Formats: sequence, structure tokens, C-alpha cells
Amino acid sequence: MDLAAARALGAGLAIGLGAIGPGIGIGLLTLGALQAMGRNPDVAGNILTNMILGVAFTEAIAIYALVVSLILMFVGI
Amino acid sequence: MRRVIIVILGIAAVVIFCGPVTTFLYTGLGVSPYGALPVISLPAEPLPIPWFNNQEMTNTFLTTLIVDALLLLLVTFALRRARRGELIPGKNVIANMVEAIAEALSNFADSVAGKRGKAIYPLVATLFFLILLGNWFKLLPGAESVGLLETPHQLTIPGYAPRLISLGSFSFYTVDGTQEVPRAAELHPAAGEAGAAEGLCQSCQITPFVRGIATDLNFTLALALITMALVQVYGVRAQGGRYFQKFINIPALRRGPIGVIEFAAGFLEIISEISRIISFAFRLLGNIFAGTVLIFVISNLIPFFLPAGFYGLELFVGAIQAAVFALLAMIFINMATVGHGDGEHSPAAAH
Repeated sequence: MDLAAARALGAGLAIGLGAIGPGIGIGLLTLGALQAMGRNPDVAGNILTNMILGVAFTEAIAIYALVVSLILMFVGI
Repeated sequence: MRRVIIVILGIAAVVIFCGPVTTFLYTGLGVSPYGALPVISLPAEPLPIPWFNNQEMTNTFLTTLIVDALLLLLVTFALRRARRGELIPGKNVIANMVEAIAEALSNFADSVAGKRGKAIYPLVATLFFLILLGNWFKLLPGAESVGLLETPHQLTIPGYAPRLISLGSFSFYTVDGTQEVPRAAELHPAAGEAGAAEGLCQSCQITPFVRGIATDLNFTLALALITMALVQVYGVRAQGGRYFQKFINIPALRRGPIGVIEFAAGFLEIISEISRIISFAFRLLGNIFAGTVLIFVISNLIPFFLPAGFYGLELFVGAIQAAVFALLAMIFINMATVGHGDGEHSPAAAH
């Protein structure tokens, strides 16, 4: 395997594996938030704010994987 | 309600019309509709400015200037209309839209931050409108496709044969995606010079004049740094020197072993603040850059109908990312202004 192939493979694996966890996490977060909003629609605004905050932190993990993948693809090593 | 349906049907009609039109146009002109894959480049491409002694300016910076000018025009226009005292649901659709978005943001700022909403609102609205306009500007026809014909700078990017297309008196060059030309210029630098002197490259790429501003890390990182710096400013303005106890919590040390843990947690706050800069910058960059690559690849694979749908998706993603950036900025500022660890509850946190 030459360097270019290894880098392409590594970039794909980095973002592919790195997106699994955050995907599950964001799904669970939204599930919980929507259920809470359904039970108590009066505080929907407050729940939405906290949900967005949680989603942002969860998504940050996928973003770290994206950074690794972008570095592998576009930054010369 | 009927007007909304008419607008949606109109957009659908335009999408269906735009689907085949480029295809027929290109086959009619003798060029394969399966065009060259546009250059996917993470760094912004430099463009020489002819009237500035050929100084280089990146295409994302040029686009940022255009978007800034557009934003100023739009807001001045909407503001003048509001100053003239016209009723809010006026005849002008664009001014109505600006006002509706501004009002929604203002209401949200009030609901998140309570009485501090008025102070947070200008920053958040500016961020939202700038990112929204930047994200949508790259979806206009001609953006990321009309540009300078030149030899690729990197060896890994394939070059294609240039092709002259004439439409009456108007003629322009395009690249023929079916004819990949191996790079000869790098092997013989002199030949490359001669080609450049002729004004036409042999193995070409198109460097776009206009590129999505959020596909450049310089733009997103600048926004992230400005936002996080202003979060500290808002925090200090709201709490004074006590704001820094969040990071270096010396008074907690007097509280024995639990206090030591609280002191150590302060350092985690510093790390968390830095990681917010990174995630702010890369969230916007990643989403918009991925959208650009998606449209490039889809319109390269299937140039009929399908890209139009993905443009619709990009409209949505552009708006969502602008909203997420603005909302997160608002939430972080609010978290900084509300006291930390003292068990005190501001009126904003109560509702």
C-alpha cells in the first residue's frame, strides 16, 4: 500500500468510525428532548436550548474526527 | 396559505426546468455533460488582482467582501423602509424577510437571556445574517464554477483540456471532463512558461472567482475567535472580576479537599473554552465544505435533475448552520453572564 492509498483509507476510516458514536448520541439526545417536550410542552423552549447545547457538544466529537480526516486528506505530511 | 403553495410549486417548476437545461445546452454545444470534477481544495485559492500590481487575494476573501457589501445594502434597505414607518407586512418580500428573521432572533434572545437579551442580540443577529448570506451566496449560479482557467498548482489535481464555446458574439472557455491531459508543464518548466505567455494552459483547472466563504478555515476560525473573545467580554461586563473565578478559583481552595477539586475543575474550564473555539470553527467549515464537495460529486456523477435537489438540501443546511452558530453564541454568552458555582440564580435561569 502506497502513502496516498493509506492516507485515503485512513481519512475515510477516521470520519466513518468517528461519526458512529456522535450519531447515536445525537439520536438519543433528540429522543430524550422530544419526549420531554411531548410530556411538558410549556418548557419546550428551555429544553430546546439545552438540547442544542448537548447536540453541539456531542457533535464536537464528530468534528474532531473530521479534523483528523481533513488533515489526512489535504495537509501534506 | 395558497400563496405559500404557489411559491413552493414555482420553486419545484424552476428545479424541474433547471434539471435538463444545462444537459441539453452542453450536448448542443458539443461538450459532454459529464463535466470535469471541480477542484476540491481545502485552502482558498489565490487570485491575482489586475489593478493592484497582480497582488494575490484569495477567492473566499473576495466573496466575503461581496457578501459584506450585500449585507450592508440589504440591512440599510430594510432599515430605511422601517424608518419610513411602513407597516410590517409590507409589499416588499425581502425587507419583510429581514424583519421577520430579526424579530425571531430578538424574541429568542429575550427568552434565553432575559433582560440581557437586548445586549446580546446585535452580535448574534450579525453572526446569523453574515453566515446565512455567505452560505446562500455560494449556491448562486456561477459561484464555484466561473473562474480563472489555469494550470493546477498541485500535482495530485488532474488537469483537463480547455475547450472554446461560442454563443453568438459571447465566447468562453470550459474544460472537457472527458479529456484528461497529463501534466507536461512540471516536467518542462520552460514549456509551462511559454504556455502561460500564450495565455492558455494545456492541462487546466478552473479556479473559481467566488467560493463559499465558510469553506475557508480563515473565515470560520476568525468568527469563532471573535465570538469566544466576546463571550469573555460579556462575562466580565456582567460579573466584573468575579468572572475569572470560573477559571482560577482561588477562594475555593480555602474550602478544604472539595475546594481543591473545584480549583482543578477551573483548568478544565479553560480547556473547554479552547475546545469551543475549535468546534465552532470546524462545525461550520465541515458542514459547508462537505456540502460543496457533495454538490461537486453529485453533479459530476449524475448531471440531470438530481443536483437541483441537493441545492435544496444545501439551502436548508446553510440556514441551519447559521442558526446553530448564532444560538450557540447566544447560549455561551448567557452561560458566561450568569454566575457560576455560587448557587445563585439569575432571573434568566428561572424561566
